[in-house]
Order: sequence, then C-alpha cells, then structure tokens
Amino acid sequence: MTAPTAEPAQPDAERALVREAQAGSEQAFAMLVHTHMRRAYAVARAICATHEDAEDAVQDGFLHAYKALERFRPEQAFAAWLNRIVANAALDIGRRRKVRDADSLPETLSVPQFDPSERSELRGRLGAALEHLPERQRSVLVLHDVEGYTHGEIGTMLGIPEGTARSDLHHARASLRERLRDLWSDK
Amino acid sequence: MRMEPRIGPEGRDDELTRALRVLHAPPDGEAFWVSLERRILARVTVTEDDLWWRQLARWRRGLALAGAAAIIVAAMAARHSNHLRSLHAYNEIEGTRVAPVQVASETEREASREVTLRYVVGP
Repeated sequence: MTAPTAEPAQPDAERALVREAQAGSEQAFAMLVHTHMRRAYAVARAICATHEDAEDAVQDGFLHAYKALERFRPEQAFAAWLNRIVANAALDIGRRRKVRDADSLPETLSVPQFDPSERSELRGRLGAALEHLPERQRSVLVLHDVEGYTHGEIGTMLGIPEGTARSDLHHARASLRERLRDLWSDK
Repeated sequence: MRMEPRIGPEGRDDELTRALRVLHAPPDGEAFWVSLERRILARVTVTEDDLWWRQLARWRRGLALAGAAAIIVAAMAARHSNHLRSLHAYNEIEGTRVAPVQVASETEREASREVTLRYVVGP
C-alpha cells in the first residue's frame, strides 16, 4: 500500500504557489503542506524506525523547507526538493536517537511500535528482521519496494550514489529472506 | 503459517512487500492528517526565531541599500576630512610665507612716514 497522497498540483499551479510562498504568503505554503504532507510522511517513515519519529521528521522537514524557501528555484521539482529535506530531517533524528540509545540500556533500544492487529507471524518477524538491517539498507528497501521510488530518486534523497542504493536494496532483500527463510519452508 | 516464496519483478518478494507496506502504512483516518497538518503549520508560523529571520529576509533589500548608502556616506566623510586636513596643512605651510608680504607692507608704511617727515622738517 503506497502512502495516500493528496491530489498533486499541476506543475504550473504548483510553481505559482511556490512563488507566492516565497513572497511571504503563508496561505500558499499551507497549500503546499496540504499537497505534499502525505508523501513526506511516507519518506520519513521509510527512514525512521518509529511512527513518532516519522511525524517529528515531517514537521522538522517542513520547517527547514519553509526557512530555505528563498533558496528554492521554481524550475526545480518541489516534491523532490522537499523529499530530500524531509529525508535529511529523518536521518538527523535517527542519528540523534543512536546517540541517545548509546547512553541507555540495551533493553530500551527503539523498537517499532506496531499496531496489535498487525502482529501476524510474518509482520511480527518482519518487524524484528528490519531492526537488524543497517538503517540505510532498511530505508532503501522501504523507499523502493513500498513507496516505489527509483534507485536514482532514492540516491538523491539519501545523498548516496545510485549504484549504492541498488546494492543496498540487494543486500537488504537477501538479509530479510535469510532471516525469514523458515517462514517460507516450515509449517 | 506456510508461505511459498513468491519473487516478483526485479527480485521483489510480493509477500514481503505486502507485509512491509502494512508495517509502514500511515495511521488510518483523516484526523491524523488534519492534526499533522495543523502541527506543521503551527511550527512554521509561530516559531519565534522564524519571525526575526522572515522579517529580516523581507527587509533584506532595504537593509542592503541602507548599508551601501552608509558606506558611501562614510567614504565621502572620510574624503572630506582628508581634504580639510590637507587644506589645514597647506595653510600652515603657506602661513609662514606671509612674513615677506608683511615686511613689504611695513616697508611701504615706513616710506610714507619718511615722506611726511621730510615735508614737515623740510624747508
């Protein structure tokens, strides 16, 4: 299930909105938030280990975007620009969490909070297997397989070469299959 | 539960992908998005440091012009001050050359006094 998105604005209409927002219109920026918020959440959720961190990353990302709006060139794709900012915010939150977790007991390490209704065998095991993946591999896997981004787009968002995104995806899938192998073969 | 591995296009495992999508699905319901949107906008519009940088950005052109004007005025003032200083120095130097003129004028005055004296004393 791809994250639901609001009706995407037409490029020209969106460009006009961006220009209005750059001129100081908060209403225009609110429209941009409304249009891109869901996609931004999906990007953040692919990178963050928890839903709560993803929410924080989306808010941070939009705040950074608002402050950097003057530097945005309207001929760019706004969504790609915004996604990169949100991805950076999500990576920052991940880094801060790692520092915090290094100071706390191993038992308190962040664990994704799953809805109880989602605790089927596969989902439960998958959540645990994802925890063992390096952060970047997990992000690449989710951005590609869940959100449908291309290797190039993922590379741009995460600041890595396209080839690295491709190789991360390969390793992430192999690692997950290995960890969940018994699910495929045993009853 | 038994699941056959089903590898989709580009090596994608469909069963895994479905499970991944469920795990990463956003919370259900419009209320979540309304609340998130409100929180984003609140942070964007109310952040205190935002106020000064936004205002600063709006006044940037004016501030730049004012700065340039201040630099021009300062440069002109410095130039004027240099000019006054050099004029003063010139006057100082030129002031010492006034003496011969005074001497000449004194000589002239003495000469006229002498003429008067000759007239009075003379036959």
